[in-house]
Amino acid sequence: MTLEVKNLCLTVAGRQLVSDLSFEARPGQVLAIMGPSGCGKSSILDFLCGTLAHSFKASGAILLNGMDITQVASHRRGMGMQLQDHLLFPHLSVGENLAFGVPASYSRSQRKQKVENALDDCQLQGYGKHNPLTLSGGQRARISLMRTLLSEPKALLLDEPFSKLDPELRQQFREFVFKRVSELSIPVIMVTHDQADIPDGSEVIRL
Amino acid sequence: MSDSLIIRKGSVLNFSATLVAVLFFAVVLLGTLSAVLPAFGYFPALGMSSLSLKSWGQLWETPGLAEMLWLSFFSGAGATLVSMLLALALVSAAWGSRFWHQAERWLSPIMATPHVALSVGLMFLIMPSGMIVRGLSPFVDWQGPPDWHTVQDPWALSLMALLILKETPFLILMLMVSIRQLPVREILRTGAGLGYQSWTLWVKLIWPQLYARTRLSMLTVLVFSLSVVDIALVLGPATPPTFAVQVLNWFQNPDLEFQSLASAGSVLLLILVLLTIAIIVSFEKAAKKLCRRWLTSGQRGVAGGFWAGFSIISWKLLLGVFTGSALMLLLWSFAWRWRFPSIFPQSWSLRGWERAWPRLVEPLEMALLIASVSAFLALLVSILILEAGRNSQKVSPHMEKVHRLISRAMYLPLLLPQLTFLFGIQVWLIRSGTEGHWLSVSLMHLLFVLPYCYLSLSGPWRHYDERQTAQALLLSGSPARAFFQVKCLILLKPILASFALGFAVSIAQYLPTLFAGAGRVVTVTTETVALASGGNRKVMAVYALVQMLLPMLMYGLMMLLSAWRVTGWRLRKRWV
Repeated sequence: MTLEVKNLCLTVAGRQLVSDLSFEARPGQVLAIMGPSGCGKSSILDFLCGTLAHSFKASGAILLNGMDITQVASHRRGMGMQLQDHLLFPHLSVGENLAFGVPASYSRSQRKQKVENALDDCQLQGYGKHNPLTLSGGQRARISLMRTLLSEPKALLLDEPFSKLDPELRQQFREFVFKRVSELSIPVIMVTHDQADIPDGSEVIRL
Repeated sequence: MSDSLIIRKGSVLNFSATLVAVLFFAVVLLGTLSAVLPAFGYFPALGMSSLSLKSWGQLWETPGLAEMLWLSFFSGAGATLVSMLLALALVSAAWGSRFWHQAERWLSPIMATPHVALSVGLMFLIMPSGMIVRGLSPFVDWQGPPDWHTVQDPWALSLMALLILKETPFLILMLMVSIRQLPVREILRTGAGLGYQSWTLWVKLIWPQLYARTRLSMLTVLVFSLSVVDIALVLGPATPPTFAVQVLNWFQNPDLEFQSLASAGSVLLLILVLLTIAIIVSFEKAAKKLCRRWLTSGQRGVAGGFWAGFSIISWKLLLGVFTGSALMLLLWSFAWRWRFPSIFPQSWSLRGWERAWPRLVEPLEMALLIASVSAFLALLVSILILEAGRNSQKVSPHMEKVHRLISRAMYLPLLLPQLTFLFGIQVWLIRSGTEGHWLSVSLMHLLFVLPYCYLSLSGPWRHYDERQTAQALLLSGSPARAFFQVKCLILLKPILASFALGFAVSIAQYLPTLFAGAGRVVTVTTETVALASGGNRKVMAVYALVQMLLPMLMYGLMMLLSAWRVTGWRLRKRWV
């Protein structure tokens, strides 16, 4: 899968945030977008995901493997989004949060197995029935990422995924994320403030 | 100021707040107890001092008891369920769109409108000779009103419609307040990234969290709907009526023998309310178990657009019915000749107003006096309790717990059927010789006005930045100046809005006026209900319109006061 953006323009309240931006992310490649606060980095991800607020005006095209998905509903685009808050749904247990990501096409036993595997992968065996609010920041981040990956996205959008973690956890979580991304071989667009977040050999767009 | 002095002042504040709160609960509990004892034959005022189950026997033998209870349950629980679903659906469909701002604009006028005024307007709209049938008549060639039971129908559907029309906006407001505590945008972004439809995300992820936060408000709607009397008298079925209306009929029977039967009835009404709450709690538990698998089934959802569209259409219909009902009051109050099937009156006149006004002045003055006093007292008590709550953290952990208990128990009068404890309080008013005085009526209204004032003020009070007061205290050296000139002025908008809300709640009170006023204190509301059972439509429209306008005018005045101030003989816009 290749994710391509052509001639993107973003305007909010008469102010042009992004002008004629084009880029391409190939399978397994991490493309980083950097820039000061308020320059429209997260809005680019929202445009890709189809969740851009009504107050924005956007033009341009999104091509996923050559197919134009600009007008496709957000839930049909196949974009996985990982936020900096690592939001877990508080009324669902840790396991249920993971199960929420698994597509409905899997049987019950397969879903259960996928959740167990994901918990193992996060080194959180036995935490399936725990309240997500009792998890530490690092644990929440891992579960949140695994939930996104379980939904089998065609591309992954990372919105400052490491910014709210302390330096040690940050490094661990970076390794955790990029290991899985390279295994899945999907394109990744990452918004970040920190150069250290970007893996070697990645393409960087500065706004 | 030294710490010890602050703590001493805090203790005094806490003591006063606790005392007021205890008095408040004592009145409600004493009222409930005084209504329960006559149900078991203990009513010394009537010479009954031995316990017996005679009145319960009489109650079971009442013809149509099961039907009356069913009507109350069906209309009350049904209206609550539909209102809650509609409110949740509308909030989901409107979030982030222009409908959200439209809803915010419309909520205050709908909520400020008293139930009785709205029910008279709805009656003019849906009755067989009402505007809807008049509008349809050219297409179906009706020469006279059809023989339909669209008002006071035996299934209580018109009563349900009014309850839905009035309670949905209240629940929408509560949901709008709660939704600010949820990261909705992040949930929708994350969910969209997982491939879920927006509507499915609302139902699976946001509704459960919103429901948990607005459950108490929903229960107050349920209790009100199950035990409502005034609008049931206007729109509800008559033979048999809903159970609450029947209990009121027994209370109002001049034959004192009926008092213990009425008491037993009011206890049965309480049992009906508790049973319905128990059913809802059981449903919640069952739904929690049953829906768990569905929540994580991975179904991304279908037909989300349909449900969102359906919600917006329902909202527009609700607004249309509200506006239509209000317009009906206006039209009928100025109509003179208006024969069926004409859409508009053939002639207009002020005679409806001329006929109604002389008899309207006294109830109007009384309503204004009672509503102003009860809203003012409710505001004072709310601020006292909220300030004490803020101070309780400084005094002791024990006081903090006490305050938390007070905050929760503040909703007690809204979680009990009015009939159950108002009768008991009336007994004490008769004993003390204070029945039939406007101040007694104001204090009775306070029981229902206070929870709403407290609820509306608690949010702004919690979010107030205490550093402002601390800074003002350092600069002025006067706690009174810091409180009145800084905190109260910063919070002026919510304070005035809370007063207007309290005023509106008081204007709408029917049963408390009836029980404490003993027929000697009459307000616009009691007179409108009395007229609704067969009075002149034009006069009835004038009374209902005046009742509707009173809270709206007060809201307008308070909005004006909170937006502008007079300095140096000039009007200036307020910044906060």
